[in-house]
Amino acid sequence: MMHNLLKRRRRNSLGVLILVGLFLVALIWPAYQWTQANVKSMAGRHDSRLSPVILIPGSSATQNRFDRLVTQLNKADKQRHSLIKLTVKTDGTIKSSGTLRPRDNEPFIVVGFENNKDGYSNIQKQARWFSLAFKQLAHRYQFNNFKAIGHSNGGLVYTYFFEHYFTREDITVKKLMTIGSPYNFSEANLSHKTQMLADFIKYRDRLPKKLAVFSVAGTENYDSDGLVPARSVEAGKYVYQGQVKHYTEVTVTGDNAQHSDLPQNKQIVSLIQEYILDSKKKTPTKALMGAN
Amino acid sequence: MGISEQQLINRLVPALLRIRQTKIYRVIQRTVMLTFPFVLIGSFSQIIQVTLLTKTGFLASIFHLSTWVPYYKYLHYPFDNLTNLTLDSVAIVAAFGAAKYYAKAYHRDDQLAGISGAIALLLVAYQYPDQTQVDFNPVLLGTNGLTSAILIGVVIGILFRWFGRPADVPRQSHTTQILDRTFASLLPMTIGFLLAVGVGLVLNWFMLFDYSEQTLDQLQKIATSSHNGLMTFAMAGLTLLMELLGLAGPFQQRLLANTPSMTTNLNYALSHHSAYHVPYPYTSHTLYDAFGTFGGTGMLLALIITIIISSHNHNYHVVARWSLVPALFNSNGPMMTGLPVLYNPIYAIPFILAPLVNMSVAAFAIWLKWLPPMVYPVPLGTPGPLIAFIGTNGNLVALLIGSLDLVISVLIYLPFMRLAEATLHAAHEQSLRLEMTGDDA
Repeated sequence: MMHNLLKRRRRNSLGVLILVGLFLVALIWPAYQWTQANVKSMAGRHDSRLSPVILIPGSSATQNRFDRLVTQLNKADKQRHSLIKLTVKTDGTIKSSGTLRPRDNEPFIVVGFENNKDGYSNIQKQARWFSLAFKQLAHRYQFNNFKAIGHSNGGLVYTYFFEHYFTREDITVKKLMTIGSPYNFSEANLSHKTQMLADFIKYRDRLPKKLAVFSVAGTENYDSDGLVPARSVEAGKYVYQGQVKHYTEVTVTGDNAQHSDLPQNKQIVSLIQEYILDSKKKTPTKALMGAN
Repeated sequence: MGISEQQLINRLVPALLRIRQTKIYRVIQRTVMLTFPFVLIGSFSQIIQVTLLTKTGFLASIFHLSTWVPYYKYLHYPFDNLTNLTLDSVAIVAAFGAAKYYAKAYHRDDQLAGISGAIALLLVAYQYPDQTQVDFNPVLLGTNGLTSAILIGVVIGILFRWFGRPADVPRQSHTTQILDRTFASLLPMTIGFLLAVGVGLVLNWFMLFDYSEQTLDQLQKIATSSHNGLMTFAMAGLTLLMELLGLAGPFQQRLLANTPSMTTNLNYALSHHSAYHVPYPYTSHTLYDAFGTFGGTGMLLALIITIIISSHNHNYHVVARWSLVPALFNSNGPMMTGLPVLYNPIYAIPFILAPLVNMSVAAFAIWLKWLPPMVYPVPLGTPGPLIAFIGTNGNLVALLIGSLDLVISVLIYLPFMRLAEATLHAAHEQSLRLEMTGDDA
């Protein structure tokens, strides 16, 4: 009787094993399809030549904030970069306008927010909204690298985004330019660190290691651009210096050095052209590719 | 060949029987088996959590679950909780069991000893905090803390043996007698707790926790970033040995971390649209992860198949059947604790040998350019034989080698399973004999 019982057990076990084996065999085909699709999409992103410039405006500014900057850059760069604008609503839905021109590998993409108010809690929200927009952009345009520009609070949104949301290994951020970004808000005295600056410093080791950062300050007089203290812009070094590949501080003065005028400032336009945009040397290869 | 397999088994069984019958071995084995139900429930919860409810999990990926299952991103929370609390309390259960069974073996109050063992473990693992929160050291709790937990439990058991009084009389419910028993155990409990607090303080003082964690991290980093073939095999051997002893080896964080060599390989393959000539073909990822871990560390999927095909032992069949599904998705906990494989000298050889042989077969095939090294991402919890197939973008040779490796592993495990069975059988007969003579087993 013992023997029979054991026999039955063995038969049961074998039944389970065969079932599991069949299950495994049934999985081969879906697994094959998944890996083919996955590798194809990875290869697509890897081969992509698209390298957009993604811009975030400051508080109280909309997705149209950089229109004049893009016009000036197109004129200076002698090519027509596409301009795509996204607005993220407070509920996370995204509205977009503008299209990518064919053969344009360096479009400008502006991401604005329905709630564009000032303050640390709003910046945290905006960083989350930006991460939603970024996810959509990465999916739609399949780029593997991008350049970042943030004006005023836009630079703070970027900093928060890089420290808390940007974890993609298949996309690198090459350069970040923050223009008149008040890392210590309106606090001119660096011994009074705001909560935001303290948090930025706390999580600074999460910043992308290969990023080149340019922090541009404007000054009307010796210590402010009329709105943001130069000292507050300078506080960016406590966040970025030593964490990223390069950290460069630039101060511009003269015409249009007032805080809100900075994106139109001629000096800054040429700084963007020189440091952020891909160098023109690539154009011949691009033409060659086009001939193929 | 001078001697047959049967003769070899006949020669080895008495020696193994002697090991089995030492009190300490029996304490350890019972303790490990006590953790089995917790590990089993935790493993089932874990495979649901990892393969179905994690976006990058195997079943979730291939069936695109995150796109059509409603409320998908919230579903994993209850399973996170269940997995963590069952698997992370395994060490506490082990400390309880080790102290209890040790005290019982020497006729002491096993109930109090067990509870004292569990509390002693918590005292040792307590982290004297900067914050106000109560915090325990993750290295000592959880599945990787099994060995230290058993050690702590045994020490508590020894204290009960030395300083306690025999509590052999059948349970009496009279209050004075209960009190009497309690006071008899008070001395070993006090000594044990003071000792545990002392050890905990010393560990905190010298920051040995941080140190051990950092060393492990360093070791893992060196091990996974190495792309020297020989080093890969040596590290795999070390990992397997440490896992068998209940510790975390250098390759434990499987498929999670992206090592520099993996990234380099992937980029090369993407640029050249082929994975054949990648710079680092023989790494922990391309060999160990791809071909050495079917059913979790130690190729335990092979042992399960071996048991189902040819075991005569009733308990083996039950454990193997329950462990099959977790093992399919590379969770080896149920087999490690249910059979148990953990600390088992019989299974030590195939546990280490089978993965290494499989890796060699794969390395040879890669060297012959029969298949490309695996460079593409593989979802979490992919069944062992499919890992290399997916990681090579669906290369059929990889699937064949995966299946071949499984067959080889079954053949490697077979004689050792027979030996284990023969030992069990001999032990069973012996206990029957002892029962007949009226002796206490």
